[in-house]
Amino acid sequence: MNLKSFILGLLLTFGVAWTAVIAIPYAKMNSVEPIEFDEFKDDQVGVYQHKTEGRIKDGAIVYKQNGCYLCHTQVIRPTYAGSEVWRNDGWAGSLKPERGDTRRESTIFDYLEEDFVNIGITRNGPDLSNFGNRVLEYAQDDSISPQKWIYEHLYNPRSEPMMHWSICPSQPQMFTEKPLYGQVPFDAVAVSPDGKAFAQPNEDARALTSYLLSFKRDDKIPQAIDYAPSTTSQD
Amino acid sequence: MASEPTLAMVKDAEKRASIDLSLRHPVMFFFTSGAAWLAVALLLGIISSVKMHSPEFLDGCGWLNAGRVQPAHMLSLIYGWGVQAALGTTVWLMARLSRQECRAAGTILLAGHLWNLGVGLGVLGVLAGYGTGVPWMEFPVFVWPVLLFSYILVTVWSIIQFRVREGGHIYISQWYLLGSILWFPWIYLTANALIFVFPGNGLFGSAINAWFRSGLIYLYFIPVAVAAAYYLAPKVSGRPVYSYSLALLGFWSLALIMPWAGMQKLMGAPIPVFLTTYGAAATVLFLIPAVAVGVNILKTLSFNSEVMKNSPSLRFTSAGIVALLAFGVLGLASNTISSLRLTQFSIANYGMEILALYGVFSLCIFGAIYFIVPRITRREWLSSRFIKMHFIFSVYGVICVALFAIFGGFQQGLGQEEFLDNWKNAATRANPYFVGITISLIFVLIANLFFFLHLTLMWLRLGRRSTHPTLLIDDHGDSTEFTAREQAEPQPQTA
Repeated sequence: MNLKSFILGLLLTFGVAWTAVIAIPYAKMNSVEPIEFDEFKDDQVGVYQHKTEGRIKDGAIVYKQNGCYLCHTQVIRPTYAGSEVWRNDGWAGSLKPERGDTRRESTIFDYLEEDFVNIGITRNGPDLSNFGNRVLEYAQDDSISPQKWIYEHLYNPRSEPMMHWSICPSQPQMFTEKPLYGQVPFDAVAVSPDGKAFAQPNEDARALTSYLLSFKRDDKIPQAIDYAPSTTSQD
Repeated sequence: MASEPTLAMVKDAEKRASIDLSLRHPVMFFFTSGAAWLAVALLLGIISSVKMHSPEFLDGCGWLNAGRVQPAHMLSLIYGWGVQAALGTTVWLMARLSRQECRAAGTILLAGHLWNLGVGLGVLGVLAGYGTGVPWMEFPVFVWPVLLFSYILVTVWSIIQFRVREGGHIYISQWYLLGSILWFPWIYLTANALIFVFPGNGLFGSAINAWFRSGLIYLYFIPVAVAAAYYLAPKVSGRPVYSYSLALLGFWSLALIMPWAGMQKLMGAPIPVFLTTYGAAATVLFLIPAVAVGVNILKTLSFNSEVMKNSPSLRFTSAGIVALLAFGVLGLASNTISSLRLTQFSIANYGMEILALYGVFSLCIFGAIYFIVPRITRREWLSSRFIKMHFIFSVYGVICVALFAIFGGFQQGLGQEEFLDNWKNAATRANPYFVGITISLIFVLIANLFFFLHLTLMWLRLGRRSTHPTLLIDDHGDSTEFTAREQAEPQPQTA
């Protein structure tokens, strides 16, 4: 083996793999083909579009800068890869009678908004794919707005009695302490014991909250890509 | 064993001494600043690990937020310590094996400073909240071109030295070094360009990132560690490499298999399924190059207990090679379809990363450093007790981190699979293991305080002036490493 064949061997072994797992999939996935609803199977027509709202771009930046992706995931795997689609606590979708069983796996259309998707590394915390739906229920139980619920959670994740065991870090850098004159503002998350100051979410907290509220990945998708758990097989 | 020196042997020794002298400053700079970064990395790792079981620890300010300290820990471990230690080893080994003095020590030293500047600003940027959120690439975006530029500035001289090498031999170590020199920029540039410069599909960006992390371990850190082991094992034990064919198998199976690995971290995400399947298969097949290298190195040493007991270099190297075998076996155990669903989103990943970066890579590189530094400083290590402490605490610590994290990871995975249970059940399962990881990391930190102190004293040229190397037994006189050093280079394995 001389140097030339050695270098050629390196280029070949690495180059083939690089082309197959990086270059071609990168080019192909750059444009995702839209999928149409089937009139007979889906009972509706038109192109499927995953609709989101909120400050996704700048909220995602805050999410990344503070390492939320280290403990939270954003993917509902098929059953061969994991069982979370079967959970009945709202990870994969709602089980409420008024909405029906909306649980489904993640699709590529759930992720088209971001330049880099943090599907996550570990699940020290729960999956967030449908956090935007879940938080509505939490907030309703506490009779506060969903935004306020998230602010309080970011300020102190252990404030909620049902989550006293949480290891989620609090985010003091997302709140500004201000002197209190008169009435406590509606979005204040804490008031100092002497009543002279309060903590209010800053821009980071607002952007992140808007981003978290956008996680509603249980909308109806065409049957062709819907691998939702069938209600019969679970029972 | 020592015979009368011939003229050729004297010339040979002079040549080696002049190579060592020409590289003294850059190599010592890489090792010492790397060791300082390692201590910083471990300190950040301990802080981040404590926060996993006691979230109120240091939670008053954003700079020490758990979500920033953990990336800062991994980044300073990888780029501060890992790549710098690898670079120091690479430039020295390549110069020695090509028998060429370094004519660009100043440039390499400058590039080393540039690298440190990049890593320093990057880690501060992450702590200040300007991280990019791309695992192992969290440095603010301006950092990666700086790192790539200084990397090329350092390694280009090694390629030149290789081109004009004397004798025409290609040593086994040189395959791995050349491979690692070429693979790193290719992987690093691909990942950074396709994620930051020309971002395509965001989810596929995540897949590229997973491939990048795997590539960095399997195609950069492990090859450099193996190169050091293939140099030290025959050199110090004075025996030729056990099997040339096994070495060929080890190298080419690594080159062939490992570029496919990595994307199994996205199993179940909506990307083409073959990507995750190939990734898992390649990671499982890593056992082939691992066993080929492991058997070859350990057979070369033949479990020669006398030499292993004496030589700090060999003790670290053989521990690193055993860790390589363990890493291969655990890679198989945690990447089959039934186990990957448990480990995919668990702290087992952290355990595997630490096992690779500290258990395999760092232990082998410590071996190399204990060999290289006395030669370039022309001083001997001060204290065999320091070396022993470094060894014992390192090995004990890294075994514990890996065990706690991997078992904890499987526990987490089992908890996550109980889909009818309350989430709290799964979320709290790993808590005791987090405590274990913290304690084990403290052991590793203690080990490296010994190491850093020792290395700094050597860097300050306060080492022992002696003709006898520091060995791990008390008798400094009649030692195997000493006689082995006096011999000419071992029989080359030509390619």
